[in-house]
Amino acid sequence: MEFTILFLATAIVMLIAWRGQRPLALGLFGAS
Amino acid sequence: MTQARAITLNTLSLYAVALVLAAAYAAQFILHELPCPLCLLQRILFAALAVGPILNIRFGPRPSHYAMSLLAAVAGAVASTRQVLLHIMPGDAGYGSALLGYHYYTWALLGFVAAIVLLAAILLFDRQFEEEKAVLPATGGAFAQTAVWLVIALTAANVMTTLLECGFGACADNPVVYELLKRAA
Repeated sequence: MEFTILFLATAIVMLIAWRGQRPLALGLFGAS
Repeated sequence: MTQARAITLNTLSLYAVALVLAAAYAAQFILHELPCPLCLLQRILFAALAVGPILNIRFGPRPSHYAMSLLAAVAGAVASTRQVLLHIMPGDAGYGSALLGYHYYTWALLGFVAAIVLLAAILLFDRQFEEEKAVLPATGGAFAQTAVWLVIALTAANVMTTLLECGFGACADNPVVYELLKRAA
């Protein structure tokens, strides 16, 4: 399950990096 | 190196990540070799390598974006080295099948080391960081957009296939069946 969550977190960070705010993407990347 | 050339190289790196994720899927679906927990971790870290280039394409190249990919590459090198060392004893056949004489985790280690070297090399070119952000189209053109969505789609697909493989518990050390499909059958 932990790997599923890590893949999901990576996909969300990618989407935010592409569509959202840069500081949020950097923060989420650091958190995950 | 101009900013436009740096963006092109970042786009190519996204296609390289997509190729790695697609090759991993080929082993999973054509050879029916399910990825082990360490294999999944290496896949995740290959996917994490793509976050830096995506930010570079959208916001222009910055050292912090390359640093993110560099951290992912170092973590990936650690994970793949761990797996190489698990199978380093003489007589150990290794995990899974070999491709051109090397197991996938050995190829992964070579890939992560190559990424570290290439990231350090591209950081040497200062001019890419000095140009105006407004020079670039916000989304980098169709070639770059295709690369970004391809990597995002492959990562999202991995969310589903990993859930199918591992289910809602811990992933098996040596998985041979998809946990959720086994429960459904």
